[in-house]
Amino acid sequence: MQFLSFDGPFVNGIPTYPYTLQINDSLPFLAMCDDYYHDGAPGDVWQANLTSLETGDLSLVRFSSSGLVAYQEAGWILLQTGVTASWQWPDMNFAVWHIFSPSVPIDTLAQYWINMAQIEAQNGSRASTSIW
Amino acid sequence: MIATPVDVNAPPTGDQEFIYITPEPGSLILLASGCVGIAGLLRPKASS
Repeated sequence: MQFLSFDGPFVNGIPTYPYTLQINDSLPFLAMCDDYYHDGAPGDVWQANLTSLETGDLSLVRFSSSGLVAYQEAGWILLQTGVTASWQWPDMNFAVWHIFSPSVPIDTLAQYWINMAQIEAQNGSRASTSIW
Repeated sequence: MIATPVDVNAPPTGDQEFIYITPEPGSLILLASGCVGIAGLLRPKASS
């Protein structure tokens, strides 16, 4: 895994979604950090385990104690970036950080995304559109 | 997808965990067919 670049705005000095990563010689792709308390920077290269959310197997993920629903909520928020104005992406990233680390401070818009993700998780729906 | 550092318990300042979306096969097929179509449009027409 290689960290290529920060491509989102910095909020209080913290880079937010999207980041650009690359796996071996794959095409670069956009990713969202779900781990507020660990740092990375362009140029970093590391070994990573890849887990498909569809498997439901959390044995190799960092926040296994948060449970599958937390990852489903985070995944739903990430999916919504595709249909949501980019100015909301930092709040969506903070929402994801807060899901896994509740001590991360969030504003009302980030809380909105958490609420929506929780509703989607309860409904079991994988498709939705933003109303913002 | 979830990309987790092999060392899950790395201390702070270690590598991060990321989530990302992998394209569905159908999307890749659409992309490929679109590229083929564009290539066809850009190809010089044979003069008759």
